[in-house]
Amino acid sequence: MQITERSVKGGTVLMLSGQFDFTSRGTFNAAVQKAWAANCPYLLVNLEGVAFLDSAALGLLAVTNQACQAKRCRLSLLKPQPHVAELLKLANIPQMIPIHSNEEDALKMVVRA
Amino acid sequence: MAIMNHPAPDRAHASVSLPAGIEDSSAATILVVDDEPVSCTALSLKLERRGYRVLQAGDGREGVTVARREYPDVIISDWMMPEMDGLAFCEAVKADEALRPTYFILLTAHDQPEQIVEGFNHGADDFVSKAASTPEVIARVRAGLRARAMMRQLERTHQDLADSHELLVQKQEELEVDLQSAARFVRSLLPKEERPAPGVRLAWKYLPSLTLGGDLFGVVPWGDDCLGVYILDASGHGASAALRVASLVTFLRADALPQQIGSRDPGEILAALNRLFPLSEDGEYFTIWIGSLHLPTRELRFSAAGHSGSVLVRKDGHMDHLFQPALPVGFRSGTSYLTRSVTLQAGDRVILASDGLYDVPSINGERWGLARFMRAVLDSRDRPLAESINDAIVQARCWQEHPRFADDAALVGLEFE
Repeated sequence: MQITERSVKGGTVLMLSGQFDFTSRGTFNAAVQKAWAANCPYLLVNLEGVAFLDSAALGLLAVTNQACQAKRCRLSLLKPQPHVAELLKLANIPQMIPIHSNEEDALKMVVRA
Repeated sequence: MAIMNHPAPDRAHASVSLPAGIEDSSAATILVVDDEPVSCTALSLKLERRGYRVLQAGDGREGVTVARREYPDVIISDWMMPEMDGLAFCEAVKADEALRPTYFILLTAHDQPEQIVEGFNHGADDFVSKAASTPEVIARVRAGLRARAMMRQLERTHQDLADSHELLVQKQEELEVDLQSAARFVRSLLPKEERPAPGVRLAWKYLPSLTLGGDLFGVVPWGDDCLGVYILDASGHGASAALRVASLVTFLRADALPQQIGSRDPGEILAALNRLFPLSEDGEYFTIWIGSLHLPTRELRFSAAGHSGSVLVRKDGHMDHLFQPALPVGFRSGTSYLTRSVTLQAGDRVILASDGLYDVPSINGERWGLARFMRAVLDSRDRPLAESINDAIVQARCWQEHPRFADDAALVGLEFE
């Protein structure tokens, strides 16, 4: 999996592409740590380029969300592909991590919060 | 035979530093073989003056005997000798496995390229002209000793690698024995009865992707009139996942439920497991589906924590997804889980699968998916339960065009008579 980062209004957007699975742990954690190190108030994980997300990746998102809460950094997910969105829905992830269909909506939400 | 014409001993020969790890060659043993005693002695003296241990032999045959007894580091041999000449001697040395690493220098008056080639073809490592100066002879001996020392280091490295490989293989075998033993334990937790209760038929397939898997299921009596049914999937696979599932299922035994959980209600059991197994630091968690079947009334009460591969296939062709979205076990403390209930009729089937079965990708990356899986078990509802289970496995394999599942896969079917 590849990750590109960019700053938007003080926060960080991580653009993920490829398969988000157990092997992505190191890459994903490094990108998240970097955002935290910059005291980023919110983190948007864009899943538009993720074709598949496995159970280990789901756990990684959950544990990242817990850590984000402890660091007062808001985590949101963006634009999951239908298969990934279905998987997130079945695991009730939207109850825990907000999922948005576009970046503008996500930014409005996090800035408002 | 020609006698070497030696210049005065050269005590100021260039010192050549050896590569790191190569031992000093000054204590090396050199075998000088020449049928001309004067030449043999003269060369030996030059070498001895430089601190080498020098052995002598009068021809190739004697040279072989001395070499097999003393294992010299370098042999300097005349070419033309009676009995066994230098070429035949060289060949004999190189044919002997124990002597093969010995650096062999042919001492010769021959300097035609075709003769040099002939010498190399017989195994010689270097040549030195009988007319060569003492510094040149010494330099060639030192070069030979360096080559010999490097070869020894290579042999040691090779031996170290061979030893390490042997140790690794041994450890791997020990680990495999442990894993097999653990796998037998995990398999011992799987259902054994084809009829776990009167009027209930059971069929299943358990296909861990490694020796040990992170999927597990069970059909266990919870009292005289109740059957507990569960399927769980620990995130990841291998030993860590298997240990976690083995740990969790101990809480689902009939004798453990009252003390550890305090309820047989599936939703309450999940809420208790959510407290007992929080998300690990590495994000490890469980998805699980739990059902409690009251045998007299055939009421199936169930709840799921992120586990969606559960379907009720009615005999009349209707289907019900036995699922509602809920967080996996450990994702958030204080999560409550809803218990739903359905009443089963004769001929109905409850099919439970792990995502390793229905999430298989085709070669172009498209997933088989829950919908196709559910369609497969619905379409085969008129066939015997075991065949229906096998058919779903076959369809998943056909979809991914590979017999082996990349993730742990489990499929359980219960049929009610």
